[in-house]
Amino acid sequence: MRYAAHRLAQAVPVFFATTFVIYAMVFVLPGDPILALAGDKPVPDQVLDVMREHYHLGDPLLVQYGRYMLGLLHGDLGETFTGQPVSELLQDRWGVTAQLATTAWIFELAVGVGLGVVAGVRKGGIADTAVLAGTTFVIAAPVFVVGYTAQIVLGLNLGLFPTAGTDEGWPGSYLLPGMVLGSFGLAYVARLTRTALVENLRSDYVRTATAKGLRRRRVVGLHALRNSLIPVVTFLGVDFGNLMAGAVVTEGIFNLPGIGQQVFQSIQLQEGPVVVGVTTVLVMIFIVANLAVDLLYGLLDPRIRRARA
Amino acid sequence: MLARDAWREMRGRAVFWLSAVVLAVAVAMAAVPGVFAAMGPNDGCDLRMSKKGPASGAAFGYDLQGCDYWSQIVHGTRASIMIGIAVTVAALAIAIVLGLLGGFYGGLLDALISRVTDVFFGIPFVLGATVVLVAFPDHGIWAMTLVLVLLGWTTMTRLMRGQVIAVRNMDFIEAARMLGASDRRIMFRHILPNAIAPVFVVAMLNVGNVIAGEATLDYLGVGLQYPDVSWGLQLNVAQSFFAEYPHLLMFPALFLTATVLSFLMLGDVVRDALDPRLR
Repeated sequence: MRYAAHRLAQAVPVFFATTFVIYAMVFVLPGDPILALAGDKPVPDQVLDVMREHYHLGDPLLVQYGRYMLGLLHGDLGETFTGQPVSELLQDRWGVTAQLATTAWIFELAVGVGLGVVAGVRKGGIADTAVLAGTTFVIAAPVFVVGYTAQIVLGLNLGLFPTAGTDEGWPGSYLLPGMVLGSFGLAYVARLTRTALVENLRSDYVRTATAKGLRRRRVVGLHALRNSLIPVVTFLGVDFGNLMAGAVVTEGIFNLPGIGQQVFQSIQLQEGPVVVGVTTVLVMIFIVANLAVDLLYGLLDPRIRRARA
Repeated sequence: MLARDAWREMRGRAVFWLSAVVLAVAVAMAAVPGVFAAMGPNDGCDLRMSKKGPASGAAFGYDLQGCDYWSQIVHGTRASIMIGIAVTVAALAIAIVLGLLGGFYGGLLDALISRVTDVFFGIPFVLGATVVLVAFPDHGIWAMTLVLVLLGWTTMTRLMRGQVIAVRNMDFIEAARMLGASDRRIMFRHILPNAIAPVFVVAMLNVGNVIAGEATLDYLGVGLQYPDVSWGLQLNVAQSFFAEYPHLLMFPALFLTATVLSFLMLGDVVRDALDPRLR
């Protein structure tokens, strides 16, 4: 419990500092959003003043940031420069991205750990070599290359999956994009599982378990694998935040109307409030996921739990 | 000693030579593109040849502007290689200094460095980079490098700090201290050589990741801009036409993947050689 409190106390300042850095990046950098709104047309000075007053653009940065954070407490993400509340704009889009990220995450977890075990139990075997080569390749290929290739081959040529849009709903429309988004993490999970399993299978407690006459399946599944999953859990926890943020590219390729697409458009239109809103929520997810991972350690490994108490 | 053992281990592996050859070619293309390409960047383009596929005289076909695609791809190598290496060297330098200071002194300084690392670690890469790059539309290769360093120094710093902490309490450090070595001497002469190996491996892998990240930003249209030439930009153009003209997507993707792959494989080989436990 003391450990949990300590970690929480560390996470809070990190949250404020990170969101402040993002806030500052978005609002201090050059470019006047009000002028951008008007395009090439000249803007009368009165209009500029009224707009700047309304959006508090004249206040010092810290005051603006403080006001924003107070609003956030009430679930208010601010409003766009065209007067629409950001939370309303994003309402329908969170679902799409959350479904996409979850699909990718499940895919990483199930297939990644599975491949890692298949490779790890027989180090140097055919399956091991194939998994190592395959995952290196997936890690090396940029996500948009994987995405387009999958779209052409699996979607267009073979017709196994819908190529774009969300018409078929979950899971149909999200399977292929989820696989593409999760491919990078999947390769990492497989390699982490394999390496940890190989190391653990050589340890004394596994030899003891084998010597006691336990079946191989039980030795690997219960004894070795449980200890091997600690680095995997770390990665999966951190990766959920990455998946939500990495969705920008995947949503673009498969034309999914999620937050990634929205935030990318908003950055180019200099819609600062939307960018800050989305990024703030993403940072929150990221920090909470990290925290959850740290607390999960204790459950997985009693040694860590006791060392911290 | 370790280096010689590692070299003996590495030179016996086919993967090492394969990636070394690919990288040697890539670096040569980046350094002296004129030797490989018949045309300069954006030179001798003929709009009538726009998007035409491979033909005699142009083995890789033509791009959207009707430029010889092979020449364009060769000239695109420099951006990827330079940014990949420059970002990694800068990030490694930051990681070594901050990791040594934080891990060695501990206390308040360490807490401060660790929290700042947490802050930058938490900024999503694509979104953070896009925000900065859109605000400065006239960015070239060096501005890209700066942005990628800003968002990419944290992983190595954390690893370096952990390594330093593991080495810090060993007996030989205590011995050096008793012999009167200064803090700086202990950090750089005694701790650094014993802590750097895993960080160095991650740095090699990092070159590949940075190249892929830079290409992603180019692909999204917020990285390098025409008339710069890069693989990411070529893929950005290709995305609208790849269904009818697959060569536009295929060739830059092939070069990009081969380069990133080689850096990753090299990193893997070096790690295996430096860490005999994994053999």
